[in-house]
Parts: sequence; C-alpha cells; structure tokens
Amino acid sequence: MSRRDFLRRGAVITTALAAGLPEAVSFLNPKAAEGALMGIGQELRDVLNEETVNRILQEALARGGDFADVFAEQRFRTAVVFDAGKIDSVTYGYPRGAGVRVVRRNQTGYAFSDELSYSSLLDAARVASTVVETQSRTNPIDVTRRNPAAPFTLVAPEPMMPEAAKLDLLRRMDAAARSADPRVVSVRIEYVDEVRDVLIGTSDGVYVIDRQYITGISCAPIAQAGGKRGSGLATLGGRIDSTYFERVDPEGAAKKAGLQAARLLEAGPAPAGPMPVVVGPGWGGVLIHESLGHALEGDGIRRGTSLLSGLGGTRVASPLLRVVDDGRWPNGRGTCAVDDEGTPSQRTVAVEAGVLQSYLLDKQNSALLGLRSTGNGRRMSYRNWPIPRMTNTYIDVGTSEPVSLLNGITKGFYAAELGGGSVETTSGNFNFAVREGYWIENGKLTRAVRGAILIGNSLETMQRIEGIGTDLVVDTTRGTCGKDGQSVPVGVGQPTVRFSSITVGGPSI
Amino acid sequence: MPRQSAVEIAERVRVQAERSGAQEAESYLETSTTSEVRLRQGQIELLQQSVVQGLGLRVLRDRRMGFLYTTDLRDAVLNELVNRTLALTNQATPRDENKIAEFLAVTQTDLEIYDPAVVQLRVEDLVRFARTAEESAFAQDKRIQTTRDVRCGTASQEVFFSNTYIPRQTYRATAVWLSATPIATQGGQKREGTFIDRKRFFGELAKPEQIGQRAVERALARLGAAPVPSARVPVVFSAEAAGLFLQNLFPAFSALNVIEQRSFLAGKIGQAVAGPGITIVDDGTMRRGLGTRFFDGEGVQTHRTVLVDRGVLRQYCHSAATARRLNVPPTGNGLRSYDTLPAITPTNLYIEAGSSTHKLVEEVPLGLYVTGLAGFGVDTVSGEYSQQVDGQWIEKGVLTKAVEGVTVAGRLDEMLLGVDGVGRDLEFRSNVASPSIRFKQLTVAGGA
Repeated sequence: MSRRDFLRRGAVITTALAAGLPEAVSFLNPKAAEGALMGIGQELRDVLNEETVNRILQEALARGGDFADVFAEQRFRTAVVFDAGKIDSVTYGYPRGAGVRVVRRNQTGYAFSDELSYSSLLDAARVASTVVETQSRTNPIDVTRRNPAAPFTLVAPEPMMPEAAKLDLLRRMDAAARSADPRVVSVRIEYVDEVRDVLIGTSDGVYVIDRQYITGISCAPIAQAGGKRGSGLATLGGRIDSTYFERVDPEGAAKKAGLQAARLLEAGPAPAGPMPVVVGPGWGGVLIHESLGHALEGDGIRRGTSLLSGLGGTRVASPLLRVVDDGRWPNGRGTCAVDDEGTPSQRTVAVEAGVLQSYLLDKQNSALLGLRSTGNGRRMSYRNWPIPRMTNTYIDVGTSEPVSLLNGITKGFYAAELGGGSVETTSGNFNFAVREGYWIENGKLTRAVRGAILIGNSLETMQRIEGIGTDLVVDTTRGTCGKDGQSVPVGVGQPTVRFSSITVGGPSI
Repeated sequence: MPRQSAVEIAERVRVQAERSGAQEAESYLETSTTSEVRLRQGQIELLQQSVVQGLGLRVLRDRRMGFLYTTDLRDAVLNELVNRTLALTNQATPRDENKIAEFLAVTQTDLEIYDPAVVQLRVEDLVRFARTAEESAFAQDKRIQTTRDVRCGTASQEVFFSNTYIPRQTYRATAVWLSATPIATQGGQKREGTFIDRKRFFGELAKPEQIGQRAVERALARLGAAPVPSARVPVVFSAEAAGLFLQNLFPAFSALNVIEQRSFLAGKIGQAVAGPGITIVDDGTMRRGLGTRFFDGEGVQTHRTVLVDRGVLRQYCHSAATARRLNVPPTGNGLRSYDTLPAITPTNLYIEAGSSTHKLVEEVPLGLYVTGLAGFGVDTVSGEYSQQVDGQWIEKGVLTKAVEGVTVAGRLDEMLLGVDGVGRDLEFRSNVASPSIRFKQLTVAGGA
C-alpha cells in the first residue's frame, strides 16, 4: 500500500483502525536523545537550539494568535519484506523535516518543509501566520529545556540490534508458520523498525527533545485446499528491547498464525443477525477504540459533532465499564514520554462505572473547552498538525471468570480475534471484521466460522455489556489508527467481554 | 532546494551507487507542493501549505534488491546511506525477476494531467470556493445547522526518473479537490453526508454550489434510518458505493497476490468471473485521469488493460517483476512514491458503463439500495464479503425508507457472477470509479 500518494482519494471522513503492519513509530528515553541519529544526520539540537526556536516562535506570532509551536523530526527506518521464503527487499529510510503551527482560537495555520534549517522554518512561520485574522498579540514565553520522565526504560532498544539477527528471526518465523500445516502455501512477513527523534518548541515555553523507538513484525500465512483459502496473522513488537523475543516465542506465534489460516479451511459460513456476543481479550479492544474512543477525542467534542458532546458526568455505558487511555503503558505502541505538543503523557480514566469522566484532549481543543490537555495531541509526522488521538486505550479488568461469560448462551457468537474496524463519530455507527470466530451453543464453543463482521451503535452497544473478565491484555503489536489522513501507532486492550446483543453480519440466516 | 540541483543530485547518487557495486540503480525524485483550506461555520479552521522533496534510490546487486529513501539531500548523508544500503543488499535473496527496466519510449504526447490554472489558484480562491459550498449547504434545508467541515485544496507534483539504462524522464501533474460534510439534525439524531470532487483540471471540478447541495442530499437521506429484518434480497450499489467496492476488490487483480495464492481470482484466466454486463478496465493513459501518468514508478510505460471483458477474466495487473515471473508484458502498475518500493496499484480503475441506471431499482420488488459502505469486510484472499452499509429500502421498485445498522454479505465469486444490472452513471471523482450495479441476491443482516 502506498503510504502517501497525493492522487489518492481525498478526505478521509470516518476513522479507521487497521490491523496489520503500519507506519512504524516511537518510544523513548529523553536523555538518550543525544548524538546523531544512527550515525546519520545531525542532532536536532544543533539545528534548532532554544534561541533559534524562540526567534521562529516570535515570527510565527508576529501577526497575532494565541499559540505557536515548532516541530522538527528525523527518523531512521529499517524495513524488510520476507515473502515466499525469500528476503524480497531491504530498505533504509531517512525522512526528516519540520513544521510551524500558529493557532488563534479554533483556527490553525500550518506550514512544513523537508528542509531543516532556520531560514526555511522562518518562512514556514510566516506562511502559517497568515491564518490569523486578528490584532490581538501574544508574546511567546522563552522556551526552557524540559526532560519529562520516561514512562519506562529500554536498556537495549530493538531497532539498535544488528540486521543479521533481525533477518534470522524472520527466517525462523517463516519456517515455523509453514510447519504448522501442510496446507500453508504462502507466508509473507514484514518487518519495520524505527528510531524517531523529535524536537518540540512551543510558545508556552516548552522545549523538548525526545528519541523514540518502535518495532513491528507481521507474519501472514495463507492456507489453501480444495479451492478454499484462509489467512492467519501474527504480530509482534511495540516499543521493545532486544530481550522481548526471548519472552514472546516468535516461532510459536508464527505457528499459531499458520494454524489459524488452516482452521479457516474447515470453518463454516458466519451467522447473521442480532445475538449474544462474547469478544476475546487483547486486540478485541479495537471494539472500545472504535465504539467510544474516537467519540471521546476533543475535536469532535469541541465542534459538537461527537455523539458524546455535552455528556460529561453522565452515564453513557454499562456500570461495569471503566475505559482507560494510558500513554505510559509499558511497551505500548501509543506510549511516549510526551505527546507531539510536548505535553507529558498520562493515564486518563475516560469512563468510570459507565459515567463519562474525561475527554481525550490536545492543547487547542482543551483551551477552547476550558480544560487541560491530557497529553493526547499526536501527529503522524512533521507533515501533519497535531490532533486529539488515543494512545493505548483499553477496557479495564473486570470480575468475571472468563469462561463463565459463555454460561447461559444457548446460541451466540464468540469473536476470539478481531480484524480492523471503523466508526463514524457523528452517528456512533461502528463495525469490525472478525478474524477468528466460533458459534456458541449451550454455553460451549462449537464450530469455527469465517467471514463475520460485527456492527452496532456505540451508546446502545456499551449499555449491553453484561460481564467483563479478569483477563485484561493490552496489545502492543498491531494497532495503527487512521484519522483525517493521519496514521499513528496505538495500543488497544480488554479482558473477555460479553454483550447481550450485537448484530453479526454473515451470509447465513 | 532548487529543482535543477536536486535532479543533479539524484543523477549523481545513482551513478555513485553504480560505481560502488550496484550493477543497476534507479533514481526517483518527487517534488510536491500542496495547499489546503478547511472551513467550518464560515471560519477558516485550517490553512496548510507545504513543499516536500524526496529521493528514492533502488539498487540491484547480483539480482538482490535494496532501497533507500530520504528527504535529506546533503552529500555526506547520501554517501553514507548509499554505502549502508549496498551492504544491506548483500543480505537479500537473489531473485531472477530483480531487474530494472531497460527501455522506455513514451508514445503518448499529452495526457493532460497538468493544469496551470490549478497552480495559479491562491489560498483566497480556495477559501472562496469552500465558503460558497458551505453557504449553499446551509441554504438547502433548515435541518442543516452545522458542518464537520468543507475542504478545498490543490496539489502539484513533479516526478523525475532515471536508471542505469533510461536517461532522464520527467512529468508534472496537478490535482484540485473540494469536499463538503454537512450534518443534518432531526430530533436527537445527527447524520452526516459527504460529497467530494477531485480533478486534474480546475475547469472540470464541480461547482461549489453543487457540492454543497449533493452533500446535503446525502445527509438528509440518512435521517430516520433504522435496521430492516434479515433477508436475502437483490441489492443495488449506488455508483459511489460500487466504486468503493471496486477499490476494495482490486487486490484480487494483483499478479503478486495471484502468484502467492493470496487472491480468490488465482487460476481463473479465461473463465467467467462476473456477470456478462461487467467489463473492468485499468487505464493509466486516460486523458485527464486522476491515476494517469506517462510511466509508472519503475520506468514502464502505462497501458490500458482490460481485466474483465464482459464477465470473463482476461488479465491481472503487473509490476515489472511479476510480468517477468509470468513471462507476460508488464501493465505499468508498479506505482510508488519516493519513499515506497513500486507496488501493484490501480491507475484509473473502473467498471464500464452499462445501459440504464433507473431500471436497476425499478425492477426490484423488494430489496436494498446501498449508498454507503464501511469497514474491512472485503476478503480478497478467501473471497468472503461482509460490510456495514446504509441506504434505502426498495419496495415495488421505489425507495421507501432510510436503512442503517445492517450488513450485506455473500461470497465474492457468487456475487460478481450474480451481477444482473449495470447503470450508465459512471463518473470519475477518484481514480477508481464505477456505475451503479445490482447484485441478484445478497444476505442482508439486520434487526430481529
């Protein structure tokens, strides 16, 4: 998939979370952000020190405005595609650039360039400031270097490991996926890692430099027999260090994906219609990401276009439900010391006992709502302005024994693993694909089914939560969330969750 | 950086790679300028402008492939990246098909993909178009009090290509777009509708008033929508919905997916795979097409390729590598950006227009008219299909009530073979387009 073909279909109006291998991005140890990136390029501080940032911010606010920031970024990316048993391609990427933003109330001016120099950023500041239609001036506060606390520590970040070790890992995963079943005919493995340096300077006085690491591996086997095909998926990674692969058994994960593909060859068609549904732990949290998470984001709240606008303090879901967005979850794809506006990340309880407690906010929307940023101002790269985004979002642990959640269901559906999903935040209508699903008959899992999707309306569905398990898992390996044309890495999670009714979309009625 | 010097750098880096051990090398330099304005409630919410220049370099050494890309064109950085990439390339597996194009003679004279009028549009013009579109949306109906936003933007792009055998090639292209997303409110219900137009030439862009009006029609049509009971019925996809469906179907036509057993269309060349009314074409040479270009991302001239001819599967879409593997001519579908390797991608992909649009609904005694599709339910590997949809219920050939909260599902092979009607309403507002089409029978899953 081409990441950025400017001839592509235009505005993305719904949000979508796709499972699969993504744009890689971030984690960090702020003090480690010294020295050239992977021996290439410069230290960002050498290009933009506090003094030059101050001058750019002054230029940005010279025509007025409430707030301005400078965001510079460089990334070093290593990518390998392993297909049909061969190392198909190897890639090094080194994109870098910077942007200047000027904000006046709800208005944003943004200009960016791939040239990382004082003079090009002064130009960007002038272009961005043209959005301002006001005489009121704000004087920027001189920036001061901050070293926000790292959410956790990576001793030996995985992206720093030698290439030979990475390639060997992919070969072993390929062999393991093929060994799962003789009907596995094809395996594609994609590996991406990235070291990302960011420099953020803001007119409210923040100057942060951060180095962030992320690794992602996807292994997608295909099984084929008698004209039928099934696909499996294993994903590994997150903001991890080199010991991760000793803990997670990459070969075991690849083999499991091979079995998942093979099992689909025997699966029957999916059921159709409303029925009791139980969703398994971990990546199943895509459900809360789509159904409530996007509606919590501050831009829709501020514009009044979200179904949760104005519902703060009110009951919006089953009293069993606690929803957390945690930008500091260890190894999480959405984890960072600071967001892309320099605000320290935090753990936000968005829904407590079914009551809406907090939105997910960036600087601009929180200011317009009279609230504080919750550290959710994120951007895809220097080519994008920050917007409110989730970090690692999950349904918190419940009290039910996971197996007991099947009890009493005479006919229902169990989604062991979900695929991607999407939501329209105005209506709350959401959907997601089911990667691995089973019939529930008389409280037991029986036949495997293929090709199911789940659809529903956020508020209705969240009222229908009947039980939450004790088995919370937060996925750190596969979430990439798309919104407004910007993809960012995220974590999602949940324990096993039971719903009294969700509409299953399949061909069998 | 001035363009001329960037081109020289792209050439120099390629030659350096060849001297440092690459038998073949290929430079792809892309320079893009974009502007976009977003307006809401009459106020500019966002103004964005940018210039970006990036270089991608593919190197081949003993049929092993390596790739680098960067936006940092300084000598020291490029030297280091080239050396590291050549070293990493030694780790890749040699493949016979790893070979870069040796010959490119562009025969098309003017594909009309660059419009100077687009480049001349100023930010004030974009604001004016957006404002007119939004005002026209508000003027349509009292139930429209707000918009998500209205967006207007332009982009111009310049591509430079050269490789070990093919000397400097270049082209320029433009695009302009305008979209509106009004929100209709009735009782406690809010529903949005979006209409977007996108063109190469400014003169072909729909008028802002029209865009506002059509977006409002879409939002209003969704008010009062509710699920319908589950049923197996004929289902008509509007042109917009059918275009999205075709886009999701495309991976099945990728020769790489076919070779690696990842397509339900593998092994079906020469067989009927769709109703006789269906002809699917990928045409990279279409005049003024949004997916039109002179050559693809690896120096292969673009083509018009008939994938499905009156229901019969004729061809897959190829990159240079897959064409070599199957020993067939390439189709010019190896598209890319500077920061991606060429990948099989549609140029202008469409279903040819049929005979009548109105009949598609009029002939249906009981069924569903689908105007919106959402989600990831098109599985081109297994051939299963299930998506969340909204639209209108059809009774006795007439649209009767708004529907949402339902899914449609089927098997892609059966669905395509069961297409029994194709409309005339083919319009290109994206590089993938379709007229309305009717599926003989799908499963609609809805309320109890």
